[in-house]
Amino acid sequence: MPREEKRTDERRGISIDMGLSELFKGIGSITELVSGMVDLVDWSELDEETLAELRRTSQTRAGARPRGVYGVSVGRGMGGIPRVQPFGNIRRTERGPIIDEVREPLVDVFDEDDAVLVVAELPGVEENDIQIEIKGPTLKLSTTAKDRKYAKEIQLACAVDESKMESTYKNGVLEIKLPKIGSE
Amino acid sequence: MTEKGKREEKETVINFGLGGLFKGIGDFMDLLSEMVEEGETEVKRTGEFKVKGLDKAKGIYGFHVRTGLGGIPTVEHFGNIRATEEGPVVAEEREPLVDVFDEGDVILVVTELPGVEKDDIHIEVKDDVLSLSTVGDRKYVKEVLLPSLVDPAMMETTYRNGVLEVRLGKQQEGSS
Repeated sequence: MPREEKRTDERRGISIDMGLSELFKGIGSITELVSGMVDLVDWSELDEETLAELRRTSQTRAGARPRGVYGVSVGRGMGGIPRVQPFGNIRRTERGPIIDEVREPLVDVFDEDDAVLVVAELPGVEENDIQIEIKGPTLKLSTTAKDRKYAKEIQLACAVDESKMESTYKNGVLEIKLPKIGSE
Repeated sequence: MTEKGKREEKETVINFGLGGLFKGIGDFMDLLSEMVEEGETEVKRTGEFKVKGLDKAKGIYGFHVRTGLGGIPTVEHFGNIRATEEGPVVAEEREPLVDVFDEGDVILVVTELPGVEKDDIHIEVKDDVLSLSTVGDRKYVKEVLLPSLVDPAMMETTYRNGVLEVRLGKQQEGSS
């Protein structure tokens, strides 16, 4: 299986020392791999009945199976250093990747001198379903809606004053502003 | 072990038959998490990292996978990192996460557009293609291929909490 070998080689060839540009090569190869695998399916081998059933079961919203989402965001972290963060609901386990019910949202953390600003994308939830909990330097974010569950733990770079927390939710984007302790 | 058993109820084990796809994804995720962990302490090594456009915007790359019957996955990409001949580029426009459902008489297109106002969303439908774009602070753009021809006159849209739903009536005749 040539594809298998190629992947192993690629995997071995990628090392942290080579920096984030390798990450992008990795993204490139996973894109090709994923597309290639889908193309490998020989649709002509499937009979009409199977195809019809496939359409039905996979394409109505009610009958849809869980969707796996996985991605990375690459941004400029503190000091202009690129920062890579994964998001989504595909998790690695010993048994291989699984699709979890709970999705990690896309989150940005900004250092704004006297406050820390956390911006999270939580499309599809109601404001009342969002729970924010702060314990020490950790912000725990979760939603309780039935159909869309998000959860994320965010490490804040410094101590914040929870009592002065301000949050807004609009158009699927949650913004939390947390004043830093001792920055009056 | 008990913890594992508890988790299992909430999870769907991916068993696509096309195990290689997910093995690949698993390897990729291993690599990523290594990079994320290492990145905390070894950031200096990333000096060579140059992606056009990253100084202005955040780069996002993702894919979503849906399992079909018979283990056939469909895979869609989203985000704003595009591969070009000069290497990866972070584009201003982001491709959103889109789901297309076939509900019998109508096609339902569900798109995640967090951070945009309803008035900033433009939708155009021609034959079996839905073109979607937004203006404003967050720019999204996507062309969605629909599973059948639709009647643009029969379109209903709702936008709530960052999720756009477009319902399109199928063309009655000749929609092979």
